[in-house]
Amino acid sequence: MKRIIYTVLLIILLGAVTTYYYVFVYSKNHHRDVQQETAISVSADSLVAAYEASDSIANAKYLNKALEIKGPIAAKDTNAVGQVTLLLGDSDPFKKRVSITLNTKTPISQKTGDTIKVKGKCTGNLSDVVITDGVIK
Amino acid sequence: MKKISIVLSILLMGVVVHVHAQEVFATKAGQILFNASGGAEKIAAINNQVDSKFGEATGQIIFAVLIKGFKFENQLMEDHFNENYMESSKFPKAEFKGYIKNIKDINFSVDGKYAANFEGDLTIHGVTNKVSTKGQVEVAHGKPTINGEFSVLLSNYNIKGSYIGDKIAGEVKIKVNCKY
Repeated sequence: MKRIIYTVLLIILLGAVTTYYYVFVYSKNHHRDVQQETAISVSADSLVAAYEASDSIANAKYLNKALEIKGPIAAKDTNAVGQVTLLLGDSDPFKKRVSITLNTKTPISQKTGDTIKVKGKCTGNLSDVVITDGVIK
Repeated sequence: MKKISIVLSILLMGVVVHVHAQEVFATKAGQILFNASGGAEKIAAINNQVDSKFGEATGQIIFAVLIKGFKFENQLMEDHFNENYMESSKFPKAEFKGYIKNIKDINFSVDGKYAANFEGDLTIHGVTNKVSTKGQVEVAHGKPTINGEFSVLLSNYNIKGSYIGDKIAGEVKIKVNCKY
């Protein structure tokens, strides 16, 4: 009988320790890394065209997925925390483009007009299609 | 000839005033932070891809943010936030559309900090409510930065979950910082 009680207590203890580790240690130190995921290759123009045609259809295909986007740099800047931000696509500021935040604060060597490939996560569509966690390939 | 010059000058002044009156400030890299800590555990997230535009003449303003762009320190919290609370695949964005009611009190050609009163419609989780809040517009070299802080009751936006009111605060504090 004692053996059963000890076994049950041990299982409960192991469960509690595992849950604590997963919730408070593992999940805090292991974030999703889109760079390790298989990406959908798409041009900046095609991605923009998909969202201009239908938000819901484009979201079903691209939202929260790893994408590798190819296109010309229309503009580059930095955000409030110093990360490099890029606009890929048409140079006309009135057109929808792909807005990317890179995972780096180091200025990039590529210039406006250069065609590049960026891998990142698609978070959806606002005035531009938005990509986060970007890394230039 | 002198008359023509005067007429042309007046017309040009009108064009300059018109162009100035139509100025629209925009950013795609604004920042929103929220804190929903209800207990000892920190439940906070940041989004650095806020899309915002406002018209200097009318005070009309829009902030839009994608829910999947919020970053948490804890991946599990981020997953629960998206799947169980905000249902971000169904409601991918949140937005505020409204006005800076006292836009005429802000002089964009004089550097300084100006109090701003915001009023409009806030849509989160597919639910729209009228909101009003106070903030600040800081002008430096003709470029404005908007700072604001307000609270949102999750129950007003049909956001439900077993931890709300316990580990997750029922009233969430939101900070906005947009440099145009």
